Amino acid sequence: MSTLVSWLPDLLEGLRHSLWLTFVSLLLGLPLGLVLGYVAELTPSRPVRWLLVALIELARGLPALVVLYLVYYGLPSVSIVLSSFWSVILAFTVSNAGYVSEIVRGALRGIPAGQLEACRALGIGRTRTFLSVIAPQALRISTPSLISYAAIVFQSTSLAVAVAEPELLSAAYNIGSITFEYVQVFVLAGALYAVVVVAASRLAGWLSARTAY
Amino acid sequence: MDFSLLPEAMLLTVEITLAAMGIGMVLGVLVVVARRSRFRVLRAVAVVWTDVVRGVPPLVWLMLVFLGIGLFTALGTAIIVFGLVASAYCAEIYRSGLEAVPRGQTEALAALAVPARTGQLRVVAPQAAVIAAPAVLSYAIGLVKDSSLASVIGVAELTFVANRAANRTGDGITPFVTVGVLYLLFSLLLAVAGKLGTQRLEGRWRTR
Amino acid sequence: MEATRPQLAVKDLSKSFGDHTVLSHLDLHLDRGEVVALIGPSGGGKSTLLRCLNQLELPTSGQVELDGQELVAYRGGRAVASSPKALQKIRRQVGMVFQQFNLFANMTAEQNIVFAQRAALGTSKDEAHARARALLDRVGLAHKAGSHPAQLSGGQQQRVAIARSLALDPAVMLFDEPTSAIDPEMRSEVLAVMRELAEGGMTMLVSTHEMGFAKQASDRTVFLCDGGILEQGPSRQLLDEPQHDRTRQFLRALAEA
Repeated sequence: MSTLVSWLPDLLEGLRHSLWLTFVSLLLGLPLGLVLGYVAELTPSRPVRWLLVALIELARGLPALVVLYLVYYGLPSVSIVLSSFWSVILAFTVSNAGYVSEIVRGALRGIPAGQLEACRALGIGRTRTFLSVIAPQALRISTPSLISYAAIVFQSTSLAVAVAEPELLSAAYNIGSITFEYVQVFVLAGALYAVVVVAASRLAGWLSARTAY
Repeated sequence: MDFSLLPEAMLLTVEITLAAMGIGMVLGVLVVVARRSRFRVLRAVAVVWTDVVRGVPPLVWLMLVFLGIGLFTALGTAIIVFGLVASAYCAEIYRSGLEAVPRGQTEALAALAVPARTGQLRVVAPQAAVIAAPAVLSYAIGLVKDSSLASVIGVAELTFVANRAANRTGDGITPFVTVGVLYLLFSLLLAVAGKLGTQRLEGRWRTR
Repeated sequence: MEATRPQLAVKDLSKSFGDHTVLSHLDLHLDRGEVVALIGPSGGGKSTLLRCLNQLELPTSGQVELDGQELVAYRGGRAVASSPKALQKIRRQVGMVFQQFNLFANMTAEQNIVFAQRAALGTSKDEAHARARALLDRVGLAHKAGSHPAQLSGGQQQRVAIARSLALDPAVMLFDEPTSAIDPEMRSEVLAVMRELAEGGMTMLVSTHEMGFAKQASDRTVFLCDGGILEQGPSRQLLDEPQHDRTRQFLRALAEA
């Protein structure tokens, strides 16, 4: 038991780093996904829409680990060398932009067409329509899925172990490889992940039940 | 890179995905039955199971079972872990499918004096299956990608082979682009096959 | 004499959902072979009354008797769900037709009727199929036996639903606004089937907005409003010369709509 406690500082430091990775990924991935999703759903130009949808699907169809390796090992071949931290961020942003844009598209589709038509009929400008009518409703619809999405991103930060980024799983792995007490350390790390994820999913569930019409 | 390794690696990727999906779909039925059971204990067990299994990242499960428990081969570990994780996700998908069957169907069953179990089995479950099929399919496609994590514990599937090739040759692009295309192809194949399967399952009930 | 006892008796029936009282101390009797139309504003408790009769809802207090048998079980002053066996027995005797038809979407018209018989009565396969075909023929849909509900119009679905309910050979049939979800031009085909059923001596309680049906096919009309029966009487009389202002208002509004 005392050994478990002695591991905690390292594991918590790893957890902190996992949360930091999550935060930075979201900070970059959300706006990108938002723009992609918004344009893909509402652009009048068909080729643009198809191109975006194809890109989104492509990025989403690749395993995040393959994208991560491609960034980490592949980009140096074209003289772009990123630290493991920024490799992870870039890989997650690319492979997750699709999820966000899918959520955004779903939310936009969830807003009745009548809302847009009513704005047009009332002579309300495009920007104003987006800011005052579309965005608040879309946000309300998509908040639960965005929270679940954040939980998914948090879980996927464990992939960073593959490029030796010192997040929670790496910390656990390092402790395990010294002490060989893999079961205990992975159970402890798993519990830390689960607490965060379950809390987020409960929050999402509660919010979506509350915002349901 | 050495392309001759790819067929075997591809087979392993397919094997992990399909075997785990099979386990998950079958086990998921048990989990959802427990979740909807009359007995509080069974329901609690099912809730904890789905929460814990889904709350812990698959990569952590892989390492825990492979390095910690150490009873199975790397491939066996991958199939078991992804199968168990899939069971939790499938159970949730089934559950929302069951909840999406219109209430009128259960009311009609009740009004017609159909025994509860018969009604669930013959009317509710088949309709829930059709509702749930697209979500099960997209989970399976997600599993294609997740199977790449098995490379971390040393299963010589696509990502593992690409990674090794990249390390040996110093070419960090060709191997990953190549397996990336293979993953996409497999996903696409699964999507098409699944779509056809779903349509068969649905039969003529929802024409219109 | 046997005939003096009502076939279906509702005694002092009340039903509340939380603070909201839907039915309050309601009494109603149906004689064997009697056809009663239940009219009144939406939210007046028509549907709840019907659903209390086959125990899709449990009443808060009061009793329902079928052929003198008490259907609602009480324990400690609260209505409790009957045993599955007792419930089955009640529901075999009291058929129900829903506003939304509720045909089983994964089965054809014929399978719907066959399944109901086999699951509820344990009828043999051959017998169930023969009866299903006979019933489909009776509602004029023999040619649609192999169609799924999604391939049928609302009127056709409702006729299949009636046939499905009849297949269990119920003693009493409840109809919960059977034509409200059907396009106006398709309603007559359903009403015709119901009229035939009424003429055949079935005991029927029909909640409806079809005053034509009430007037021509029902023996008695009951005006249900605010959870109670405001007035009732022979259909022609009640519909032509209602006694209460509230009833008159309701009928006038309906005629104008």
